[in-house]
Amino acid sequence: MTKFYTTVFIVITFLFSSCKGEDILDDEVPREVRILNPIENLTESSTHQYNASYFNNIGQQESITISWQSSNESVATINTSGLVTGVMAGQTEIKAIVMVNNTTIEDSTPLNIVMDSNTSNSSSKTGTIATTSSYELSGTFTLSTIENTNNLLLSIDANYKASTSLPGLYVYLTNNPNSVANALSLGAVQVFSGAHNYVIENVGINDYSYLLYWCEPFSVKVGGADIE
Amino acid sequence: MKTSIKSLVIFTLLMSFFIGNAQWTKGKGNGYYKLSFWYLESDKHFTDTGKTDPNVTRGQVNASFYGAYGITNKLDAIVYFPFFSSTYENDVISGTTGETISSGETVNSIGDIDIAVRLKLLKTKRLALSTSLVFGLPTGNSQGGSDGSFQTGDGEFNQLLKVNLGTPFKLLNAPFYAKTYVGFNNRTNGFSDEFRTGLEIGGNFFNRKIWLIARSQIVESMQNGSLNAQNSQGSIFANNIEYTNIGGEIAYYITKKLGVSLNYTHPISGRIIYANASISGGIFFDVK
Repeated sequence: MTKFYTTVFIVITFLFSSCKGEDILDDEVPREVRILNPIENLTESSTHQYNASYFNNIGQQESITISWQSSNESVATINTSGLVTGVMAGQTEIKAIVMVNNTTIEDSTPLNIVMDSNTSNSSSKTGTIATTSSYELSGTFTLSTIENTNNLLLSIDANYKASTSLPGLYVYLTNNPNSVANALSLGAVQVFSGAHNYVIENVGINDYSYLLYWCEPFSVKVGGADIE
Repeated sequence: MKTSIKSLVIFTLLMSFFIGNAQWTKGKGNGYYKLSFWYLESDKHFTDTGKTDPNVTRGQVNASFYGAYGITNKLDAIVYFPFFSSTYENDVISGTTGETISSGETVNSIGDIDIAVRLKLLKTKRLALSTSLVFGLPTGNSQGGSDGSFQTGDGEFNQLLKVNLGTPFKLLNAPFYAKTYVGFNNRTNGFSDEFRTGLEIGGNFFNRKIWLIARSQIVESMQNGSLNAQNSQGSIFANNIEYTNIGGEIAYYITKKLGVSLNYTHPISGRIIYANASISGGIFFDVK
Protein backbone atom coordinates (compact mmCIF):
# COMPACT_ATOMS: atom_id res chain seq x y z
CA MET A 1 0.00 0.00 0.00
CA THR A 2 2.89 2.33 0.84
CA LYS A 3 4.32 1.60 -2.61
CA PHE A 4 1.02 2.57 -4.19
CA TYR A 5 0.85 5.90 -2.39
CA THR A 6 4.51 6.62 -3.21
CA THR A 7 3.86 5.94 -6.88
CA VAL A 8 0.79 8.17 -6.89
CA PHE A 9 2.72 10.95 -5.17
CA ILE A 10 5.59 10.72 -7.66
CA VAL A 11 3.22 10.74 -10.64
CA ILE A 12 1.34 13.75 -9.31
CA THR A 13 4.59 15.56 -8.52
CA PHE A 14 5.85 14.92 -12.04
CA LEU A 15 2.63 16.12 -13.64
CA PHE A 16 2.51 19.29 -11.58
CA SER A 17 6.21 20.04 -11.96
CA SER A 18 5.83 20.00 -15.71
CA CYS A 19 3.44 22.98 -15.57
CA LYS A 20 6.33 25.44 -15.45
CA GLY A 21 6.94 27.08 -18.81
CA GLU A 22 8.69 30.12 -20.22
CA ASP A 23 7.78 33.79 -20.47
CA ILE A 24 9.53 35.86 -23.11
CA LEU A 25 10.56 39.35 -22.02
CA ASP A 26 11.03 42.10 -24.58
CA ASP A 27 14.23 43.50 -23.13
CA GLU A 28 15.87 45.11 -26.14
CA VAL A 29 17.24 48.62 -25.60
CA PRO A 30 19.28 50.89 -27.87
CA ARG A 31 23.03 50.20 -27.83
CA GLU A 32 24.87 52.96 -26.04
CA VAL A 33 28.34 54.23 -25.23
CA ARG A 34 28.49 56.40 -22.13
CA ILE A 35 31.20 58.63 -20.70
CA LEU A 36 31.25 57.63 -17.05
CA ASN A 37 33.16 60.52 -15.48
CA PRO A 38 32.51 63.75 -17.33
CA ILE A 39 33.78 67.06 -15.92
CA GLU A 40 32.70 70.58 -16.73
CA ASN A 41 35.99 72.39 -16.28
CA LEU A 42 39.69 71.66 -16.54
CA THR A 43 42.57 74.08 -15.95
CA GLU A 44 45.22 74.68 -18.55
CA SER A 45 47.98 72.08 -18.65
CA SER A 46 46.02 69.77 -16.38
CA THR A 47 44.84 66.29 -17.34
CA HIS A 48 41.77 64.20 -16.73
CA GLN A 49 41.38 60.51 -17.47
CA TYR A 50 38.01 59.90 -19.10
CA ASN A 51 36.39 56.50 -18.77
CA ALA A 52 33.56 55.19 -20.92
CA SER A 53 31.58 51.98 -21.18
CA TYR A 54 29.67 50.36 -23.98
CA PHE A 55 26.28 48.84 -23.18
CA ASN A 56 24.83 46.33 -25.64
CA ASN A 57 21.23 45.82 -26.77
CA ILE A 58 20.16 44.40 -23.40
CA GLY A 59 21.93 47.11 -21.38
CA GLN A 60 24.79 44.82 -20.44
CA GLN A 61 28.28 46.30 -20.22
CA GLU A 62 30.55 44.83 -22.88
CA SER A 63 34.26 45.21 -23.65
CA ILE A 64 34.89 46.95 -26.93
CA THR A 65 37.44 49.37 -28.37
CA ILE A 66 36.47 52.95 -27.62
CA SER A 67 38.07 55.81 -29.52
CA TRP A 68 38.23 59.42 -28.32
CA GLN A 69 38.00 62.79 -30.03
CA SER A 70 38.28 66.44 -29.02
CA SER A 71 36.33 68.78 -31.29
CA ASN A 72 38.86 71.58 -30.73
CA GLU A 73 42.43 70.28 -30.48
CA SER A 74 43.72 73.79 -29.93
CA VAL A 75 41.80 73.93 -26.63
CA ALA A 76 42.29 70.35 -25.42
CA THR A 77 43.87 67.21 -26.76
CA ILE A 78 42.84 63.66 -25.93
CA ASN A 79 44.82 60.47 -26.52
CA THR A 80 43.60 57.02 -27.51
CA SER A 81 43.06 55.94 -23.91
CA GLY A 82 40.89 58.97 -23.04
CA LEU A 83 43.46 61.12 -21.24
CA VAL A 84 42.58 64.74 -21.97
CA THR A 85 45.03 67.63 -21.54
CA GLY A 86 44.00 71.29 -21.34
CA VAL A 87 45.95 73.42 -23.84
CA MET A 88 44.42 76.88 -23.66
CA ALA A 89 41.27 78.54 -22.33
CA GLY A 90 38.22 77.79 -24.44
CA GLN A 91 35.49 75.24 -25.11
CA THR A 92 35.64 71.84 -26.71
CA GLU A 93 33.51 68.72 -26.93
CA ILE A 94 34.88 65.35 -25.97
CA LYS A 95 33.49 62.33 -27.80
CA ALA A 96 33.66 58.62 -27.03
CA ILE A 97 33.03 56.56 -30.16
CA VAL A 98 32.48 52.86 -30.84
CA MET A 99 31.74 50.96 -34.02
CA VAL A 100 29.22 48.13 -33.74
CA ASN A 101 27.97 46.23 -36.80
CA ASN A 102 29.19 49.07 -39.04
CA THR A 103 27.20 51.58 -37.01
CA THR A 104 28.83 54.45 -35.20
CA ILE A 105 27.62 55.02 -31.65
CA GLU A 106 28.92 57.96 -29.66
CA ASP A 107 28.53 59.98 -26.50
CA SER A 108 29.78 63.49 -26.00
CA THR A 109 30.34 65.90 -23.17
CA PRO A 110 31.29 69.59 -23.22
CA LEU A 111 34.54 70.64 -21.59
CA ASN A 112 35.73 74.12 -20.65
CA ILE A 113 39.46 74.72 -20.34
CA VAL A 114 39.89 77.51 -17.77
CA MET A 115 42.76 79.44 -16.26
CA ASP A 116 41.35 79.45 -12.69
CA SER A 117 42.56 76.40 -10.83
CA ASN A 118 39.78 76.75 -8.20
CA THR A 119 37.02 75.96 -10.65
CA SER A 120 34.87 73.17 -9.27
CA ASN A 121 33.05 70.36 -11.07
CA SER A 122 29.57 69.55 -9.94
CA SER A 123 28.42 65.94 -10.28
CA SER A 124 24.78 65.38 -9.67
CA LYS A 125 21.80 64.21 -11.66
CA THR A 126 18.06 64.35 -11.22
CA GLY A 127 14.99 62.43 -12.26
CA THR A 128 11.24 62.13 -11.97
CA ILE A 129 9.81 58.82 -10.81
CA ALA A 130 6.60 57.82 -12.59
CA THR A 131 4.47 54.71 -12.42
CA THR A 132 4.30 52.42 -15.44
CA SER A 133 1.66 50.26 -13.79
CA SER A 134 -1.64 50.73 -11.99
CA TYR A 135 0.12 51.13 -8.65
CA GLU A 136 0.73 54.59 -7.26
CA LEU A 137 4.35 55.67 -7.63
CA SER A 138 5.64 59.23 -8.06
CA GLY A 139 8.30 61.62 -6.90
CA THR A 140 11.56 63.32 -7.80
CA PHE A 141 15.12 62.58 -6.78
CA THR A 142 18.72 63.74 -6.96
CA LEU A 143 21.64 61.41 -7.50
CA SER A 144 24.98 62.90 -6.46
CA THR A 145 28.51 61.85 -5.66
CA ILE A 146 29.61 61.88 -2.03
CA GLU A 147 32.80 63.93 -1.78
CA ASN A 148 36.08 62.07 -1.30
CA THR A 149 34.43 58.69 -1.79
CA ASN A 150 33.46 56.39 -4.64
CA ASN A 151 29.91 56.41 -3.36
CA LEU A 152 26.66 57.98 -4.50
CA LEU A 153 23.81 59.51 -2.55
CA LEU A 154 20.33 58.91 -3.95
CA SER A 155 18.06 61.50 -2.32
CA ILE A 156 14.38 60.83 -2.87
CA ASP A 157 12.40 64.02 -2.35
CA ALA A 158 9.47 64.71 0.01
CA ASN A 159 6.97 64.48 -2.86
CA TYR A 160 7.62 60.72 -3.23
CA LYS A 161 4.69 58.31 -2.79
CA ALA A 162 4.41 54.58 -3.43
CA SER A 163 1.54 52.16 -2.99
CA THR A 164 1.71 50.11 0.20
CA SER A 165 -0.50 47.44 -1.33
CA LEU A 166 2.07 45.99 -3.67
CA PRO A 167 3.93 43.00 -2.29
CA GLY A 168 7.67 42.75 -2.81
CA LEU A 169 8.54 46.18 -4.24
CA TYR A 170 12.28 46.59 -4.87
CA VAL A 171 14.37 49.42 -6.31
CA TYR A 172 17.27 49.04 -8.76
CA LEU A 173 19.79 51.03 -10.75
CA THR A 174 19.91 49.65 -14.28
CA ASN A 175 20.80 50.33 -17.87
CA ASN A 176 17.75 48.45 -19.11
CA PRO A 177 14.39 49.78 -17.88
CA ASN A 178 12.66 46.53 -18.85
CA SER A 179 14.79 44.08 -16.92
CA VAL A 180 16.67 43.57 -13.66
CA ALA A 181 19.29 41.45 -15.38
CA ASN A 182 22.67 43.18 -14.80
CA ALA A 183 20.94 45.71 -12.54
CA LEU A 184 22.16 46.85 -9.12
CA SER A 185 19.63 46.16 -6.38
CA LEU A 186 19.24 48.86 -3.75
CA GLY A 187 17.01 46.52 -1.74
CA ALA A 188 13.37 46.23 -0.78
CA VAL A 189 11.44 49.48 -0.64
CA GLN A 190 10.86 50.29 3.01
CA VAL A 191 9.77 53.93 2.77
CA PHE A 192 6.49 54.53 0.96
CA SER A 193 6.03 58.25 1.48
CA GLY A 194 8.29 61.28 1.89
CA ALA A 195 11.99 62.03 1.72
CA HIS A 196 14.61 59.33 2.24
CA ASN A 197 18.10 58.42 1.05
CA TYR A 198 20.09 55.52 -0.31
CA VAL A 199 23.89 55.43 -0.06
CA ILE A 200 25.26 53.42 -2.99
CA GLU A 201 28.82 52.25 -2.56
CA ASN A 202 31.46 52.02 -5.30
CA VAL A 203 29.23 53.24 -8.09
CA GLY A 204 29.93 56.13 -10.46
CA ILE A 205 27.46 58.87 -11.27
CA ASN A 206 27.17 57.70 -14.87
CA ASP A 207 27.29 53.95 -14.34
CA TYR A 208 23.51 53.58 -14.59
CA SER A 209 20.95 55.46 -16.62
CA TYR A 210 17.67 54.37 -15.08
CA LEU A 211 16.09 54.08 -11.63
CA LEU A 212 13.77 51.06 -11.69
CA TYR A 213 10.99 50.03 -9.28
CA TRP A 214 10.32 46.32 -9.66
CA CYS A 215 7.79 43.90 -8.15
CA GLU A 216 9.81 40.82 -7.26
CA PRO A 217 7.07 38.16 -6.94
CA PHE A 218 5.43 39.28 -10.18
CA SER A 219 8.78 39.94 -11.93
CA VAL A 220 7.32 43.05 -13.46
CA LYS A 221 8.23 46.71 -13.74
CA VAL A 222 6.14 49.00 -11.57
CA GLY A 223 7.71 52.33 -12.49
CA GLY A 224 10.95 54.22 -12.73
CA ALA A 225 12.82 57.25 -13.94
CA ASP A 226 15.51 58.30 -16.38
CA ILE A 227 18.58 59.55 -14.52
CA GLU A 228 19.32 62.84 -16.28
CA MET B 1 -0.48 36.54 -3.50
CA LYS B 2 -0.84 33.70 -1.11
CA THR B 3 -4.16 34.73 0.34
CA SER B 4 -5.63 35.43 -3.06
CA ILE B 5 -4.73 31.94 -4.22
CA LYS B 6 -6.24 30.40 -1.15
CA SER B 7 -9.43 32.40 -1.52
CA LEU B 8 -9.83 31.29 -5.08
CA VAL B 9 -9.28 27.68 -4.19
CA ILE B 10 -11.74 27.75 -1.33
CA PHE B 11 -14.31 29.54 -3.40
CA THR B 12 -14.09 27.21 -6.34
CA LEU B 13 -13.91 24.03 -4.37
CA LEU B 14 -16.16 24.61 -1.39
CA MET B 15 -18.88 26.21 -3.44
CA SER B 16 -18.83 23.35 -5.88
CA PHE B 17 -19.37 20.82 -3.12
CA PHE B 18 -22.63 22.29 -1.98
CA ILE B 19 -24.60 20.77 -4.79
CA GLY B 20 -28.10 19.69 -3.99
CA ASN B 21 -31.67 20.87 -3.87
CA ALA B 22 -30.97 23.33 -1.11
CA GLN B 23 -30.45 20.34 1.16
CA TRP B 24 -28.24 22.28 3.47
CA THR B 25 -27.48 19.39 5.71
CA LYS B 26 -26.86 15.87 4.53
CA GLY B 27 -28.97 13.96 7.00
CA LYS B 28 -27.70 11.37 9.44
CA GLY B 29 -25.41 8.82 7.84
CA ASN B 30 -25.45 10.51 4.44
CA GLY B 31 -22.38 12.03 2.89
CA TYR B 32 -20.80 13.72 -0.05
CA TYR B 33 -17.18 12.97 -0.94
CA LYS B 34 -15.15 14.40 -3.72
CA LEU B 35 -11.66 14.08 -5.16
CA SER B 36 -10.78 17.23 -7.07
CA PHE B 37 -8.10 18.88 -9.11
CA TRP B 38 -8.00 22.66 -9.29
CA TYR B 39 -5.86 24.66 -11.71
CA LEU B 40 -5.08 28.32 -12.13
CA GLU B 41 -2.49 29.91 -14.37
CA SER B 42 -2.20 33.66 -14.29
CA ASP B 43 -0.32 36.27 -16.27
CA LYS B 44 -2.23 39.30 -14.96
CA HIS B 45 -3.65 40.51 -11.69
CA PHE B 46 -5.96 43.13 -10.29
CA THR B 47 -3.99 45.89 -8.58
CA ASP B 48 -5.04 47.91 -5.54
CA THR B 49 -6.78 50.35 -7.91
CA GLY B 50 -8.92 47.60 -9.43
CA LYS B 51 -7.17 47.78 -12.79
CA THR B 52 -5.27 44.84 -14.25
CA ASP B 53 -1.49 44.70 -14.63
CA PRO B 54 0.64 41.96 -16.20
CA ASN B 55 2.85 39.65 -14.17
CA VAL B 56 5.19 36.78 -14.84
CA THR B 57 3.14 33.65 -15.38
CA ARG B 58 2.42 31.87 -12.13
CA GLY B 59 0.23 28.93 -11.46
CA GLN B 60 -1.17 26.67 -8.83
CA VAL B 61 -2.51 23.16 -8.95
CA ASN B 62 -4.31 21.52 -6.07
CA ALA B 63 -5.40 17.97 -5.53
CA SER B 64 -7.84 17.72 -2.69
CA PHE B 65 -10.33 15.62 -0.88
CA TYR B 66 -13.61 17.02 0.33
CA GLY B 67 -15.96 15.19 2.59
CA ALA B 68 -19.25 16.13 4.22
CA TYR B 69 -20.89 13.64 6.55
CA GLY B 70 -24.21 13.90 8.36
CA ILE B 71 -23.55 13.25 12.01
CA THR B 72 -27.20 13.87 12.80
CA ASN B 73 -30.11 15.07 10.72
CA LYS B 74 -29.21 18.60 11.73
CA LEU B 75 -25.44 18.56 11.88
CA ASP B 76 -22.78 17.88 9.25
CA ALA B 77 -19.05 17.53 9.70
CA ILE B 78 -16.99 18.77 6.76
CA VAL B 79 -13.34 18.53 5.88
CA TYR B 80 -11.40 19.95 2.98
CA PHE B 81 -7.94 18.41 2.67
CA PRO B 82 -5.65 19.69 -0.13
CA PHE B 83 -3.26 16.78 0.13
CA PHE B 84 -1.12 18.05 -2.72
CA SER B 85 -0.61 21.68 -3.62
CA SER B 86 1.87 22.85 -6.21
CA THR B 87 2.72 26.47 -6.98
CA TYR B 88 5.05 27.46 -9.78
CA GLU B 89 6.48 30.35 -11.74
CA ASN B 90 7.70 30.35 -15.32
CA ASP B 91 11.27 30.99 -16.38
CA VAL B 92 11.77 34.48 -17.82
CA ILE B 93 13.70 34.41 -21.08
CA SER B 94 15.29 37.36 -22.83
CA GLY B 95 13.53 38.02 -26.10
CA THR B 96 16.75 39.56 -27.39
CA THR B 97 19.38 36.98 -26.47
CA GLY B 98 17.35 33.89 -25.58
CA GLU B 99 19.19 33.65 -22.28
CA THR B 100 17.42 32.96 -19.02
CA ILE B 101 16.91 36.15 -17.03
CA SER B 102 15.30 34.48 -14.05
CA SER B 103 14.68 30.83 -13.40
CA GLY B 104 11.21 29.80 -12.40
CA GLU B 105 10.46 27.60 -9.44
CA THR B 106 8.04 24.95 -8.35
CA VAL B 107 7.15 24.31 -4.73
CA ASN B 108 5.05 21.32 -3.67
CA SER B 109 3.47 20.67 -0.29
CA ILE B 110 0.09 20.13 1.26
CA GLY B 111 -2.24 23.11 1.44
CA ASP B 112 -4.25 24.66 4.24
CA ILE B 113 -6.82 22.25 5.65
CA ASP B 114 -10.35 23.41 6.43
CA ILE B 115 -12.59 21.73 8.93
CA ALA B 116 -16.17 22.81 9.37
CA VAL B 117 -19.53 22.06 10.89
CA ARG B 118 -22.88 22.90 9.33
CA LEU B 119 -26.04 23.16 11.39
CA LYS B 120 -29.58 23.10 10.06
CA LEU B 121 -31.61 25.93 11.54
CA LEU B 122 -34.83 25.67 9.56
CA LYS B 123 -36.19 23.51 6.79
CA THR B 124 -39.59 23.70 5.15
CA LYS B 125 -40.82 22.76 1.70
CA ARG B 126 -39.97 26.24 0.49
CA LEU B 127 -37.00 27.25 2.53
CA ALA B 128 -33.82 25.92 4.08
CA LEU B 129 -31.73 27.87 6.52
CA SER B 130 -28.43 26.74 7.95
CA THR B 131 -25.26 28.09 9.46
CA SER B 132 -21.73 26.85 9.08
CA LEU B 133 -18.47 27.52 10.84
CA VAL B 134 -15.26 26.88 8.92
CA PHE B 135 -11.84 26.77 10.56
CA GLY B 136 -8.93 27.39 8.20
CA LEU B 137 -5.85 25.66 9.55
CA PRO B 138 -2.41 26.97 8.52
CA THR B 139 -1.06 23.60 7.44
CA GLY B 140 0.29 24.77 4.09
CA ASN B 141 3.63 26.36 3.30
CA SER B 142 3.45 30.11 3.80
CA GLN B 143 7.11 30.86 3.00
CA GLY B 144 7.94 28.58 0.10
CA GLY B 145 10.48 29.16 -2.62
CA SER B 146 13.62 31.25 -2.81
CA ASP B 147 11.86 34.52 -2.06
CA GLY B 148 9.09 33.19 0.17
CA SER B 149 6.37 33.96 -2.35
CA PHE B 150 5.56 30.40 -3.38
CA GLN B 151 2.92 29.74 -0.80
CA THR B 152 0.47 26.92 -0.54
CA GLY B 153 -1.07 28.41 2.59
CA ASP B 154 -1.47 31.75 4.26
CA GLY B 155 0.09 30.96 7.62
CA GLU B 156 -2.87 32.16 9.61
CA PHE B 157 -5.81 30.60 11.40
CA ASN B 158 -9.10 31.98 10.15
CA GLN B 159 -12.67 31.38 11.19
CA LEU B 160 -15.47 31.80 8.68
CA LEU B 161 -19.04 31.99 9.99
CA LYS B 162 -21.75 31.72 7.35
CA VAL B 163 -25.52 31.79 7.23
CA ASN B 164 -26.99 29.96 4.23
CA LEU B 165 -30.46 30.38 2.81
CA GLY B 166 -31.87 28.30 -0.01
CA THR B 167 -35.09 27.50 -1.78
CA PRO B 168 -36.12 24.84 -4.31
CA PHE B 169 -38.39 25.63 -7.23
CA LYS B 170 -39.48 24.26 -10.60
CA LEU B 171 -38.75 25.77 -13.97
CA LEU B 172 -39.96 24.18 -17.21
CA ASN B 173 -40.84 21.13 -15.14
CA ALA B 174 -37.20 20.73 -14.08
CA PRO B 175 -36.15 20.95 -10.44
CA PHE B 176 -34.14 24.07 -9.64
CA TYR B 177 -32.77 25.65 -6.54
CA ALA B 178 -31.42 29.04 -5.55
CA LYS B 179 -29.31 29.75 -2.54
CA THR B 180 -27.37 32.55 -1.05
CA TYR B 181 -25.18 33.10 1.93
CA VAL B 182 -23.52 35.83 3.92
CA GLY B 183 -20.39 35.23 5.93
CA PHE B 184 -17.79 36.87 8.09
CA ASN B 185 -14.21 35.62 7.97
CA ASN B 186 -12.26 36.48 11.11
CA ARG B 187 -8.57 36.44 10.22
CA THR B 188 -5.44 36.52 12.34
CA ASN B 189 -1.78 37.57 12.06
CA GLY B 190 -2.56 41.08 10.89
CA PHE B 191 -4.77 40.10 7.97
CA SER B 192 -7.97 42.07 7.45
CA ASP B 193 -11.27 40.37 8.19
CA GLU B 194 -13.57 39.69 5.27
CA PHE B 195 -17.24 39.95 4.43
CA ARG B 196 -18.39 37.28 2.04
CA THR B 197 -21.58 36.70 0.15
CA GLY B 198 -22.61 34.49 -2.72
CA LEU B 199 -25.47 33.45 -4.94
CA GLU B 200 -26.01 30.13 -6.67
CA ILE B 201 -28.69 28.85 -9.01
CA GLY B 202 -28.79 25.27 -10.17
CA GLY B 203 -31.02 23.14 -12.32
CA ASN B 204 -31.38 19.39 -12.74
CA PHE B 205 -31.83 17.99 -16.23
CA PHE B 206 -32.06 14.72 -18.13
CA ASN B 207 -33.82 12.73 -15.48
CA ARG B 208 -31.59 14.04 -12.67
CA LYS B 209 -28.48 13.00 -14.48
CA ILE B 210 -27.00 16.44 -15.00
CA TRP B 211 -26.77 19.48 -12.78
CA LEU B 212 -26.07 22.85 -14.38
CA ILE B 213 -25.09 25.47 -11.87
CA ALA B 214 -24.27 29.19 -12.09
CA ARG B 215 -22.79 30.99 -9.16
CA SER B 216 -21.18 34.20 -8.05
CA GLN B 217 -19.28 35.20 -4.97
CA ILE B 218 -18.19 38.54 -3.55
CA VAL B 219 -15.41 39.01 -1.02
CA GLU B 220 -14.93 42.43 0.55
CA SER B 221 -12.05 43.26 2.86
CA MET B 222 -12.93 45.00 6.13
CA GLN B 223 -9.63 46.92 5.74
CA ASN B 224 -8.93 46.44 9.44
CA GLY B 225 -5.69 44.43 9.27
CA SER B 226 -2.30 45.83 10.18
CA LEU B 227 -0.42 43.96 7.47
CA ASN B 228 0.83 45.97 4.51
CA ALA B 229 4.00 46.44 2.50
CA GLN B 230 5.03 49.32 4.77
CA ASN B 231 5.41 47.23 7.90
CA SER B 232 6.54 43.97 6.37
CA GLN B 233 9.91 45.23 5.10
CA GLY B 234 9.57 43.78 1.68
CA SER B 235 8.16 40.40 2.53
CA ILE B 236 5.71 38.80 0.17
CA PHE B 237 2.06 38.71 1.07
CA ALA B 238 -1.24 40.07 -0.09
CA ASN B 239 -3.70 41.58 2.32
CA ASN B 240 -7.00 43.34 1.73
CA ILE B 241 -7.82 41.25 -1.30
CA GLU B 242 -11.28 41.68 -2.80
CA TYR B 243 -13.00 40.08 -5.73
CA THR B 244 -16.23 39.29 -7.49
CA ASN B 245 -16.32 35.95 -9.28
CA ILE B 246 -18.77 34.35 -11.62
CA GLY B 247 -18.67 30.75 -12.64
CA GLY B 248 -20.45 27.70 -13.81
CA GLU B 249 -20.40 24.01 -13.14
CA ILE B 250 -21.69 20.91 -14.77
CA ALA B 251 -22.05 17.73 -12.73
CA TYR B 252 -22.96 14.43 -14.28
CA TYR B 253 -24.24 11.50 -12.24
CA ILE B 254 -22.84 8.35 -13.81
CA THR B 255 -24.82 6.31 -11.31
CA LYS B 256 -27.16 7.41 -8.55
CA LYS B 257 -24.16 7.95 -6.29
CA LEU B 258 -21.13 8.38 -8.47
CA GLY B 259 -20.51 11.37 -10.68
CA VAL B 260 -18.02 13.76 -12.23
CA SER B 261 -18.03 17.53 -12.33
CA LEU B 262 -16.27 20.35 -14.12
CA ASN B 263 -16.11 23.91 -12.86
CA TYR B 264 -15.06 27.18 -14.45
CA THR B 265 -14.67 30.38 -12.44
CA HIS B 266 -13.68 33.81 -13.65
CA PRO B 267 -13.00 36.94 -11.62
CA ILE B 268 -14.78 39.96 -13.08
CA SER B 269 -13.32 42.50 -10.67
CA GLY B 270 -10.94 42.52 -7.76
CA ARG B 271 -8.05 44.03 -5.87
CA ILE B 272 -4.67 42.37 -5.23
CA ILE B 273 -5.70 39.08 -6.78
CA TYR B 274 -5.00 37.15 -9.96
CA ALA B 275 -7.27 38.11 -12.85
CA ASN B 276 -7.37 34.82 -14.77
CA ALA B 277 -9.95 32.08 -14.76
CA SER B 278 -9.54 28.84 -12.86
CA ILE B 279 -10.87 25.42 -13.68
CA SER B 280 -11.48 22.41 -11.53
CA GLY B 281 -12.72 18.94 -12.07
CA GLY B 282 -13.41 15.98 -9.88
CA ILE B 283 -15.12 12.75 -9.18
CA PHE B 284 -17.70 12.64 -6.41
CA PHE B 285 -19.58 10.08 -4.41
CA ASP B 286 -22.98 11.23 -3.19
CA VAL B 287 -24.42 9.00 -0.49
CA LYS B 288 -28.11 9.77 0.09
